[in-house]
Amino acid sequence: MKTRFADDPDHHCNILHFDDIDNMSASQLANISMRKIVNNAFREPANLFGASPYGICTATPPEPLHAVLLGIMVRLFQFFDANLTEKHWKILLEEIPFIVSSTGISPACQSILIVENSKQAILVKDISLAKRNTQ
Amino acid sequence: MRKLNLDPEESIVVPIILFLDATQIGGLSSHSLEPLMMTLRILKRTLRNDPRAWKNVGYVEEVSRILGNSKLTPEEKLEDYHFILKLLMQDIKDLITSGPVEWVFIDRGTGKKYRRNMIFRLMMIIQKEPTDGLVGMDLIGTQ
Repeated sequence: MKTRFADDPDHHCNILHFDDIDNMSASQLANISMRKIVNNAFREPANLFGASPYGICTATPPEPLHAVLLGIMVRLFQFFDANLTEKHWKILLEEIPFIVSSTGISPACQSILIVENSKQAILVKDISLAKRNTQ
Repeated sequence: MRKLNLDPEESIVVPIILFLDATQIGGLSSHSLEPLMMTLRILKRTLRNDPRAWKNVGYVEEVSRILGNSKLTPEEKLEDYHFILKLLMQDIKDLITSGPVEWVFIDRGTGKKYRRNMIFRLMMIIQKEPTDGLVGMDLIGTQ
């Protein structure tokens, strides 16, 4: 599922069957971010997963990286970004150095802060420098 | 169970849970171990939280590391990974294909014995890391 659908409870997921994957070419699989595994360890025997036709595709529960960090968290920022006007962004960018310095964020995290804007990506390399500039 | 001509009253489906995750063997080492663990879903969650409820099936070896060939493509590495997984899972697969296994449960209170046909099936594979290697998903492009 694409990240942009992560907050849509009505989104219809097309769960792949094992047979679908077997019949797809490497390029077709690449289009859905999949790789061809010729000798998949979970393909045989046919009743390995009981009567489930989905096989390994539904036997791997969501893990934090895809479901949360690359899923809901990214969608959260996309939603936040989509609802901010240019005026809001200007205020936010002016306030970021103060927010970061006042929340006790570690120096390692302070060294690089990436703010993704839908129109432009703004990279604030050094928060302390930005802080000095705003004082 | 009807397909297997088994009495549902005297048969139990036993889902198998596998756990697979690589871990570094030392803070300054690049070597890692990837154990394949298994447990049964019929155990209560409180029991499954006990390490004694888990059986170590084996360790997934990185074939390219054994052979000293680090120039394999991601597809070739995936094939090697699944080759090792196949070897490790062979006993589990034999258990699944061998048909029902008779298991005698004893009621410790009354001493009564209950014979049940246990049908083993794989239920889920848990990995702390992304399960890309298992399903063949490419991390890049999922967004």
